[in-house]
Amino acid sequence: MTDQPIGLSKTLALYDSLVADVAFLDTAPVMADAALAVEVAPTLVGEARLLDRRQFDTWFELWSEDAAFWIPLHQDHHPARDQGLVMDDHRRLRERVWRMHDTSAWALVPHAQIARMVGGIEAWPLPGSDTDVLTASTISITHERTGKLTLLAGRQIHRLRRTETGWKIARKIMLCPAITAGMPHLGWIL
Amino acid sequence: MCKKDPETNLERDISDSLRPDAVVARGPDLTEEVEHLIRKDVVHRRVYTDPALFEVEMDRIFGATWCYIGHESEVPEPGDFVRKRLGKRQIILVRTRKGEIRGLLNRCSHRGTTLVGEEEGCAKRFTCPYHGWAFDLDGHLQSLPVADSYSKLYERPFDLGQIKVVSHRGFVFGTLAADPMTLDEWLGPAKLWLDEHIDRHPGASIRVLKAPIKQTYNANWKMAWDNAADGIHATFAHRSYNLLGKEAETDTILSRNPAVSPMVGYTLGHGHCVVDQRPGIPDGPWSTMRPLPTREDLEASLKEKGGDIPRETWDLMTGNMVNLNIFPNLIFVGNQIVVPEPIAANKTLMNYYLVMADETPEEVNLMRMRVDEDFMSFGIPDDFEMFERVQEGLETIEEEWVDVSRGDDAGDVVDEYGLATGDLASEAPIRHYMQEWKRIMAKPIPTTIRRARIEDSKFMKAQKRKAEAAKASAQA
Repeated sequence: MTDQPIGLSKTLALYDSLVADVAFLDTAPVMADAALAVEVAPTLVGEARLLDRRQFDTWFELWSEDAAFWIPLHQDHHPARDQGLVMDDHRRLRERVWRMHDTSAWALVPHAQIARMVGGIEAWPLPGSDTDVLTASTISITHERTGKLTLLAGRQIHRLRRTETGWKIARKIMLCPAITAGMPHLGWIL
Repeated sequence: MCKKDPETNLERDISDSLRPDAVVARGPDLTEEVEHLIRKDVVHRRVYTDPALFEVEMDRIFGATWCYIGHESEVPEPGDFVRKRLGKRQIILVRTRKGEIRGLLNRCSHRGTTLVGEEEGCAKRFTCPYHGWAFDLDGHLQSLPVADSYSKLYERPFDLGQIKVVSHRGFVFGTLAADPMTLDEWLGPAKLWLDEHIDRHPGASIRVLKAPIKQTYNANWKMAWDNAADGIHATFAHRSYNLLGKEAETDTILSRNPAVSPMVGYTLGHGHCVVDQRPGIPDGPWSTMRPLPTREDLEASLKEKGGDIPRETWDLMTGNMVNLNIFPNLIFVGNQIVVPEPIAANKTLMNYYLVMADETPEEVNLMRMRVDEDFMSFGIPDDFEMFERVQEGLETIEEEWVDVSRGDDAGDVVDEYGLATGDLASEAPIRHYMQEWKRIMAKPIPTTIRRARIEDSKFMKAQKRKAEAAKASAQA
């Protein structure tokens, strides 16, 4: 590991730690930190509301500069070995927001109505970090566009960071079984 | 009752298909109908909308014609298997103990149960969970419980059904046709383009990731085919992708003016075609990509390893910008192998497999994944939108015809073999594969299920010995 160039090490370390965040769910205590869960809940619920109401610029402000947004094709996948549906950094997230506003993104206009239901929020302090916490929550998404429905459900894992101005989203992972099976495109997913 | 089919001269009676070596040609003669549906430069809407024609396609195009099944790198070791489809049939693509590739029908020869439910795995044998029949990796029946309760084991074709499979440099094609043309003949000039795709990778060594991105659209599978060599849609359908490129001061591969671009398309026979975009991108494929996630880190890493990064290394991170389409289900775009899987006349599952280059720095393959994901989010949704809008538009039954005449007598150059060279705007590739569709769909095609002959089965030999021993002891 040590003789790897720093850029490669950094990339692989990010991917490994995303997988570690998923694996954390297997050993995380059922008795999560209840007070912490209450504290982070408005951020998770608020994120969903901002997205549903198409307030993408405000939503983007929630993200930290080292953002990572990952939607694997399967919950056992690894971003260094498997293609994903989404594996974004801060720059590509901004491009997704740009596209949400683009009137020639034919798959997104006319705009969709989307309702995200966030539930089952758990939170744990992230071992070895003073600022970051890990949260897990369930999400159910109803998407309507041009009279057609797309339904998606799964579990999302957020790494939230405590800052002077409030919680920031450092990472978001979405595990959705329907993606493995094959479903209509998710060009609208955030 | 056996009756000769006047067209194919084959016996088509139901009793005939009970024979282990049955050759059966199914379905109606459609010669007159397809003549009506496919004209020189217009196509009838029913080619995309008719469920009855779809069922015939599942037999003749996705069954009795060479189709892409999978890549040998997906099953590197004996016992490795992946579950694939040929039309609606499930195929177990497996590597046998001897290292051969087989395409087994995922259907127990007893009552029809699928033998494997996993998308991939490694097995010593395939055992049916319903009644315990077990089959060797090459399809031989290995054992079945209470064998004495069968009186007709010798007569029935109990070894697992198989399709004929032939590989070209790792790419496995399969068919159920009783007497198919050779794969070489089927691929024709497309084989050279396929070779070029493989050879651009160092050591000509490629590895296909087993898990594809799977996405569905509510339209006919041929929409993807029409789109694959359609140069002019890139400007309009992908306007958003091109504008996003401009935001990052990048001219994407799709942003070229189709009226003046030197990019060129060729039809290659049997419905195959290729669009060579390289003449339109003098700075090479990598110059067409926006900065993508991890790019700076991986670039720094490569420089740290070897100083200046040669352009070929950059270009390996993205596709070669030669879009090769091998009819009916193998599309090369970027570093992807796209396999359209027809579900119904108005529904298609697209499988996007990613090709990795084995003999390259790790950074190249890491970058390939992030390149691959980009168009999935910023390009393909707009393609699907167009496919579905066309399918909806074709529900207007009074507007019967779809125009595909662009380029015909207006720019296309047709050679002595009838193969066309056209500019980016030409619809020659659509006209070309539609003629092949017409040829294949016209008449019933004799098909047969391959099967290890029952006498060769280890189990059957043992049964025979047992029967002979019992007979001998009875005589004694």
